[in-house]
Amino acid sequence: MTDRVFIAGMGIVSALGATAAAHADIFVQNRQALGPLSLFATPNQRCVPVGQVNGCFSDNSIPRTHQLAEQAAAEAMRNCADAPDVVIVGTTTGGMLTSETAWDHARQAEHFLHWHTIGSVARYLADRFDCNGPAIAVATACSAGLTAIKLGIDLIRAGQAERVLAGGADALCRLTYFGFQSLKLVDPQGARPFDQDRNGMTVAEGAAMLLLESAAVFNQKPLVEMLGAGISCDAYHPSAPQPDGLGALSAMRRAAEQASIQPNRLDYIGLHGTGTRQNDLAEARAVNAFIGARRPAMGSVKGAMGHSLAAAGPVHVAIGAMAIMRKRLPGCPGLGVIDPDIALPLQSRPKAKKIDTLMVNALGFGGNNAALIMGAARPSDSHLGPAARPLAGLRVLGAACISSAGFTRQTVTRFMTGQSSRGQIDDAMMARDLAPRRIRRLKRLPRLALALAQKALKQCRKAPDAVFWGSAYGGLSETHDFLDALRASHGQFASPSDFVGAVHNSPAAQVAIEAQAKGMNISIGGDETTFAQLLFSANLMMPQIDDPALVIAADEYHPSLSPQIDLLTQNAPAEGGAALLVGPPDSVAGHPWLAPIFYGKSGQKDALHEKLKDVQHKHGPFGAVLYGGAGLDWRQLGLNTIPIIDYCHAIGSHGAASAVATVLAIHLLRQGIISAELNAGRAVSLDGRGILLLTAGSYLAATALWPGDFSLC
Amino acid sequence: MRGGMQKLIDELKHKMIETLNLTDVTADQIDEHAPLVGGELGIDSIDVLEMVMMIEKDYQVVIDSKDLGEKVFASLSALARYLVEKAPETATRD
Repeated sequence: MTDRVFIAGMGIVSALGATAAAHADIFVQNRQALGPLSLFATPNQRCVPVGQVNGCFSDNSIPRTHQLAEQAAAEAMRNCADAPDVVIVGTTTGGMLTSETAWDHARQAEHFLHWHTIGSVARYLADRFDCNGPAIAVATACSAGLTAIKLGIDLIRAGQAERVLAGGADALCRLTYFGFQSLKLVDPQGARPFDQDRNGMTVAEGAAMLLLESAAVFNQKPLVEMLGAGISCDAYHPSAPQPDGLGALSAMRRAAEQASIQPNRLDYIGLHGTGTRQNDLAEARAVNAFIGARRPAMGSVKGAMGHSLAAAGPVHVAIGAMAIMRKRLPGCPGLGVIDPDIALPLQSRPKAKKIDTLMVNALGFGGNNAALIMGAARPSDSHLGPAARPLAGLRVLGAACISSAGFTRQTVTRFMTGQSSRGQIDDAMMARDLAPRRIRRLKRLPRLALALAQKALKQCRKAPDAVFWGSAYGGLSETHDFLDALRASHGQFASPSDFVGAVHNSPAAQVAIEAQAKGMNISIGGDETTFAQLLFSANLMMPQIDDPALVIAADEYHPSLSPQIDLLTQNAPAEGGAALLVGPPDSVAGHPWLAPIFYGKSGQKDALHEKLKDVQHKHGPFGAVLYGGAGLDWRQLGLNTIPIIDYCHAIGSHGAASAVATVLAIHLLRQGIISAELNAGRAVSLDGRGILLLTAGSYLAATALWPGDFSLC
Repeated sequence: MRGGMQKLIDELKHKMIETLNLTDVTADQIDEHAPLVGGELGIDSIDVLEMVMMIEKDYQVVIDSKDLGEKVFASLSALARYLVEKAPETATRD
């Protein structure tokens, strides 16, 4: 039975103010809080207004993005004595500002990029708020925070969590400040969404976090309820939106479907409206197609505090919640004269209005679109959407991997014969089956993603509609080259294609364009458990996906950056990745069945042990374990009588190693035997038993795989 | 002047190949009068922006609006004419 999802707490930090209450002003007047940047030096000709958060941050060793997230989360958690079950946060920048500053000073201190990753933002919040469960960082650019909230809603509805801390955070940094300017998308006069003279966006920082609770644990007066959300992908261009807004329209329709709300029932739409000429027009076309004859009030708030990237969606959701509670609409700050081509009923000034339901849009770079519908909580539950289908794992319809040994056949052969395939991948080998014209502007990570997708897709005739992409470190080549060129030219020159490539979801956009996959598209940044997080998300979303989904993880080794980010790769360079084509468990028989069975903070060995006992009781004992990491007591986990194989020893320790290991496990299942080379000289038959994949670091992830003729009871 | 213009056009062809990583064409295969964006070479808006940056770096000529960019990058010969107009020394330098 689908559970209801309420907002139990929320926090906002933006240029307008440091708390939700500080944003009340937006319901009274159209104040714009845009101004000069003071966080870092800029050459004179590149001085444009930003939405900078004022006030100081106490601890300079924690990156700004993390502190913004914490501030908003602290406000959201203020009245909650319990820890959240899950933390999900959208972010584009991660620890980038700190990394840039350290780079600027050519600091050689150990691990100066320790906080660099997207994933570290989620883990930081999980630590600060005592969350032992999954901590996931969503990286779908400007729609990341809204997508994070959707994942939270679906988790609660699927009965997988009672309490989720979800939202988004991004700090200003050189990458985004100069990057958006290199794309000529920034208005030197400040953002004027939907205005006839608008000339671009205003880059900003901020955070908004929501505490979402299921009806079962919610013990306040219900005021605002999450009704549904939809996500889609344009599959059109790495940075420009599909001109007719078709992808955005799809996301809005999916949201309406999940919420069981007709578009003509909406009282307000919080538009993405950044102020760029193309994006505002594309969104307007999408919204006009969506709403039909009855036209609700609508507007964008980005003229007030700028575009805070991943935080933008959650900021508008929090403002939407306040609108419902206060019975007031915000205006559309920055709008002077509406562009006649926009043709939307924009609410230019704040006004009193009772709101029953509203929608918020977030349309990101790479064509990642999200829309969320929320409403005033009703006493009865007559509006509930269809009951959530249970989570039941995934069928693996295709699998491919890559390591320094080569693609799947070479990597698997090397592994089965007990040899290592650590080290770096040959660039020519990686790109050998990719059309030069197609990849000319792409650097190593998107090439890995495309090559893997291509190989996985060959194995199944059904085209995927959804893409789940993950990387621990993101496009290091693009990040390095962008910041290096920026520094060398003293802030004068910044490559637009390096900027686009450095944004974490860029490879996912490339894969979607290649496969024309226009459905769900989620990018995640984790650490060594990135692939486990992807499988966890794909498993959660599979009931909402009709066609197969591509699940891809890859990480590149960069000679100057990697040793600083990840202690594990410091002395042993390694890189690679894998792609799975997955479908629902009741699809084509004869394919391996995969089930994510545990993901949470390490140290929960007892909880893992209980889970393993439960799974083996239902489906029989495992035949072998494939693991990466340290600190696992096999006897304590009841696994000491079966072959235990260290996959990091074979393929190295990098962010996507567990993805490669998953493909190795699939081949072991196919073979049915653990070879002597892998098991201290003694070959062992699997006898139809499954394989357990374990990854242990600061987080613990367990995935189970069973052979193709296995059937669910 | 014409010799200088042709030299500039040749130079721009090589720079374009390098800037946009067009590994599958040679300079003599590029038609300086053909439309750049959406033409045979598969050049898009991001490529134009990379060229804008290259022009600023190598010729110190700024193209700071999307509309101007579209006009100037209509073809390589249009680009060369614009450069000569804004920075006449480019047509005569070695």
